[in-house]
Parts: sequence; C-alpha cells; structure tokens
Amino acid sequence: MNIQLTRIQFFMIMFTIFTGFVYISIQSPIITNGKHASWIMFIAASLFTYLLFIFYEKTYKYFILGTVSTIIYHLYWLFNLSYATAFSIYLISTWISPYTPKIALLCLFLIPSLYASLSRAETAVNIGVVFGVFIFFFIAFVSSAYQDFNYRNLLPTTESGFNEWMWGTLFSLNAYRNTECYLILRKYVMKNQKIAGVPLFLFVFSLFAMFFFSIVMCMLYFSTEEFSLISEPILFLLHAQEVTFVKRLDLIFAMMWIFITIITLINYILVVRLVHFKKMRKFPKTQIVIYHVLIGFIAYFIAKFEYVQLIREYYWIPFILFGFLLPILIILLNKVRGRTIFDSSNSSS
Amino acid sequence: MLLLAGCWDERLYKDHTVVSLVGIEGTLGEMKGYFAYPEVQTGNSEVTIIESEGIETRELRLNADLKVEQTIDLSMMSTLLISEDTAKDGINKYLDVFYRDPTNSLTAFLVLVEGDVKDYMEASKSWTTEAGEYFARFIRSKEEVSVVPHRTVQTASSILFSEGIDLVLPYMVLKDEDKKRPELGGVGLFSNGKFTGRVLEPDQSKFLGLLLQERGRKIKYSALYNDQPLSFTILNVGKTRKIQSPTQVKMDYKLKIEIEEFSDTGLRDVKKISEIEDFIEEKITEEIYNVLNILQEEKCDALGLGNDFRVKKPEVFDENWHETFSNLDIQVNVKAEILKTGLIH
Repeated sequence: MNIQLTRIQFFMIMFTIFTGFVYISIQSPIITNGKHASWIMFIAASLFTYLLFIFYEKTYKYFILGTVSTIIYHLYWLFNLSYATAFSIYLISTWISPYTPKIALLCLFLIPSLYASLSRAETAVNIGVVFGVFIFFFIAFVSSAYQDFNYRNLLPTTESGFNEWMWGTLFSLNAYRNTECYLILRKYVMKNQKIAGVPLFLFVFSLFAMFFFSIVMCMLYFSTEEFSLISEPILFLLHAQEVTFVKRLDLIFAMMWIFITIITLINYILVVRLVHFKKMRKFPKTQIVIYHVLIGFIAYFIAKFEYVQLIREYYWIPFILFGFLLPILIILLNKVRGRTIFDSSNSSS
Repeated sequence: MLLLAGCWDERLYKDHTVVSLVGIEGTLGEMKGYFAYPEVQTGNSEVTIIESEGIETRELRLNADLKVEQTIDLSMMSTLLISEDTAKDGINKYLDVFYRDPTNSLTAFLVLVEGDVKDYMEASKSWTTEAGEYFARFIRSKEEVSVVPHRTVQTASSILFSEGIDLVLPYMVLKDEDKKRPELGGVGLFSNGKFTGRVLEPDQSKFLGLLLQERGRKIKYSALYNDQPLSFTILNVGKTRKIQSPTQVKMDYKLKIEIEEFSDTGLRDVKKISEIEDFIEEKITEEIYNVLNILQEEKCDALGLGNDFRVKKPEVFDENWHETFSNLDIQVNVKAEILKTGLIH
C-alpha cells in the first residue's frame, strides 16, 4: 500500500490524530494534577514536543520498524484504538444516549471507519477537512462563557511543587501522545514539499493553540477544585451556557465530536494499514474487517466507568513509551547501523 | 446511523411531566420537595404542584414520580427554590443531583425563600406564566439593576467549590396577606457554603452588586440632596483592588453616572456638578461601608477577596480565611463622574 501526501494533507491527518480522541477530556487530568500552574506546564510540555518534532523531522528517515517493533506498535495501536472507541461510546452513553445499546454505538463508530478503510486511501486522507468548520463553532461557543471567567483561577503559579509539575507535565504530554504517527506518515509526504522550519512550527503551534485554548478556558470558568469531579469540562462548560437558539449547546458540540472521533479513527487506522500492508498480504479486506471486529470486541468490554477511569489514570504512559522512548531507540539503532527508510523501501521493493 | 442510535433515546414530550419550578425544604433524612408543572384542565393550562417526601433530593423526585402519570423531567427547570433551613445546612450536598445529571438544567436560578416553600409554589397557581419562568424573569430583571448577582446551579456550584469566595443568593419573601405575590427580600449571605441567616436588604444588595461589578449591569440610586430629590444611574464601574498589607485591602471605584432626576435649579454651573459628584461619592462610600461591615460580621466573603489573597499573598490565605476576612481593614475610595444629565440640564 502506498500513498502520496501533500503537506496540507499530512498536517490535516496529524491534526485529527492528535486532537480527535483526547480533546474532550485532556483538560481535567492536567488541571487536577497541575493545579493553578497547569497552563504553564502545558506550555513547557508543548515546547518539549516542538523540539521533539524538530528532532523527528531531522531523523525520520531512520525510523524503520522491524518485526518486534511492528508487533509492539500493532498491539499498542489496537489497544489505543479500542480504548478510544470505548471512551467515546462511554461518553456518548453518559451525555447523549444513555439507553442506546453499546453495540449500536460501536457500530456508529466502526461501520463508517470500516467503509472508509475498505475504500481508497484518499477517502481517509481528505476527510479531515470537516475539522475546520468544527474549530470555528467550537471557539465561538466556548468564548460565549466569557462573563463567568475568573482570571484569578490561573494564579498563583508558584504554589505547585515538584509533584504537581511532574504529573501536570506528564498529563500535558499526553496531548501529543500519537507522535509516532508523525514518523510513520512523514515518509509519504511528497519529496518536493517542505515540512521543516515554518510549516512544522505552524503545525505544532496550531495544535498547541487548540489545546491551550481549551485548557485556559476551562481554568477560567471552573474553580480548580471542581476538576476533581468534572471529567469532560468542555462539555460541562457548554452545558452551562444559555443561548437563545438551543437548550443544550453541549449536545451540538458532542455531535460534532462524534464526527471528529470517527474521522480520527479512520485516519488512525490508515496509519495502521500503512504499516501492516507495507508488504503485500493476502486477503487485505478480510484483515481490515477482522481488525475492526477486534477493536469492537475489546472496546465493548472496557467501555465501563471503572475501566475507563483506570486506564485514564495511566494514560500518561503512551507518550513516554511509544511516542518518545521507543521511536528514539529505533532511530538511534538505525542511525548506528546506517539504515534509512530509503534503503529499506528499495530493499523491500 | 445517528438517527438509528437516537431511537432508543427518544424522549417524547407526551411521556414527560416537564417541571419548570422545583422547591426543596428540610434537611437530609427528612426532606420535602415540590414540583410545579403546567397541566391542561378544562381547556386551560394550569399549574399543578406535586408534593413529595424523602430522605434526600433524588428520592424526592423518585417519590414525586409515583404521583404523576408521566415521568418528571427537569430539563426545563428554570428556578430552584431552597428553604432557609436547607440552606443553613450547607447547600452543596443538595445540589449534587442537579449538577450530575446531564439532562438537568444547569442554568436554573437558585433562590432562597423565607418560610414555607409550599407557599411560594402555591402562589404560582395564580400566575398566567409558567411557574419557574416567572421566578426566572423576576430574578433576571433584578440582575439587570444589580440588586441580585447572577447565580445559577452552575455558577453557585463553582463558588461553593472555591475556597476564596462565598455565595450570595436572591432571597424572596411573601409579605402580602393572601400570599400570592412573592417579592424580593434581598440577598442571603453564605459563609463556608452555609446560609448565615442574614439578608442584605435590596437597598443594600445593590451596593454588593456595585462591589461585584458584573458586566452590563446598571445600579439605580435615589437620595435627597439639600431636600431635593436626586436620582441617578451608575452606568459603569471601574474597579481596582489592591492588597496593601496582610491585613489591609484598598478598593478604588470609578463610577460613571447619569442623572435621572434632579429638580434643583439646574446643572449648568460646573461647580454644582462637582458638588453633586462629591455628594454621590460620600453617599455611596457610606453605603458600601455598611455593606462591607455586614459581610465582615457574617464572615461572608462575597467579593472573593480570598481569591485575591490566594493569588497575591498566599501565606495569609489558609483554613482560617473567614476569620481573617472578618478582621480585614478594607479601605474604599469612590470617585464619581457625571457623564449625562438626560434631556435637560
């Protein structure tokens, strides 16, 4: 399987993969752990991630997945996708559809994803443009709460100690937990498209701005103590807004978020397909169907409050392990060996 | 697919009793709840009140459900009436159910009531508008003139969770003999999440509104100036608060004034304008000090000075904050500027 991405398509896929699943829930763990200085911790985490992206941009050619690393990533992605799907259906059943059976909600996510995955790769590549409209509405809706903002919730930043900084920063890094997808997709960008420098900065900055906006808005609106109770502050904030044209603003946002999550699922599975079908394999369509069934099966069993909360507590690990340590290890090993993706693709073809 | 998923969760209007006004009284273990909803009887829509008893707020609703042919639905609740005894027990534990359920309205107003909640619910039967909407409109109109602050289920919960600010809620009374028209009794003061029992009269609560300075609100005031009526509106309030020392706070207010009534010889003389500005400054400073004294007596930090100290002098902000607040030396400086005088001088 091979695709050619323009710079915009590449950034669009990355943008959905980064923000899609986590955007609605990332704020609470960061603020609960980081307290009033959470917004600074997020800036620090974003700076670190920007440097990491610069490093990855310079070294992506050394990111070659071997047999073991491919298995590790496949297992992680399967779990990550299953958890994301489980979290999504759990959230929908809490906020929108408490009586809809889990299996119907699973189909809601997995059938469009399956359809897109069985279609041409371009379907998945271009579907992210829907995101633009969503961002505009989102900023307008959230900003409507400005009358209840309290800037004092952002201060003092000095009361956070080592523990707050450590956990606040780790959970902030979770916003960028799918960094390995950058390394995988980067080689499919057309050769004549420039990524390093300003384009990369703009991409990371837009990601940062999107997350930072949501964190600061939530901090301004809620008192810090409330975050220990509220797991989806963005939805809660919108739920508490009174507008003339609709009773529950949160439902509009939640519906948009469902679409975004489906798009994210499609894009994420595209990354999995690119790795899995790097080599010619028999019955590719059957394998894609089985992969979706597997996601559905795992998601069905972990879509419970207890499991969702438990996994959430440890969801600072994926970035450290799979977005940072493992890619660096793979890059360093291949650099020492002198192997690049160009040699690898030549040899495989 | 989305439409299909909606099949299980469709909520038809005909299956629900849409309640607009809820009242609770009593304390945990022995509570009473009242639910007002419109019902069509002999061709007219009339307010029906369902009364229930229970040990806590959720049980009140469950028990009330047993008395109606449909399921009680609070998604359109506009107002929640809370009795004094419930508020004195600390209201956070009673609000949890309204906060937790996503179908509930977080924008419903919270209102404290004097005496029996039932009287206020019964009074709603004589109104032509929906019971909850009547209270909501009543409160909104008082918010416009800063007599009561904007406090809904969500904003109140936010304050209750914050340690550096105290809650104040609109306080309503039934004074007329036939108990049909509730009126604003003022603003009930809370300390540490519990109602103190003290109420700021509407004449005083507008100065609390000035101190809180919520955007887009006006404050109207009338006084006698040299035995002549003087009425004015405070159009805009510029506010700065400065912590001078761990025990002293200085608050500066710059007021933009519009004269609404002044039947003296006129305001052409610039000296006269300056004199009236001085008079207004003096009167308002006096009123503000009165309000601050009451707040300090009741240990009600409605201004959120605790949050200022938490940010700027964290060493002073501790678990004894309410005690510290009651002993704070608060200096107020008011500057008034007359911007408009209406159509005549």
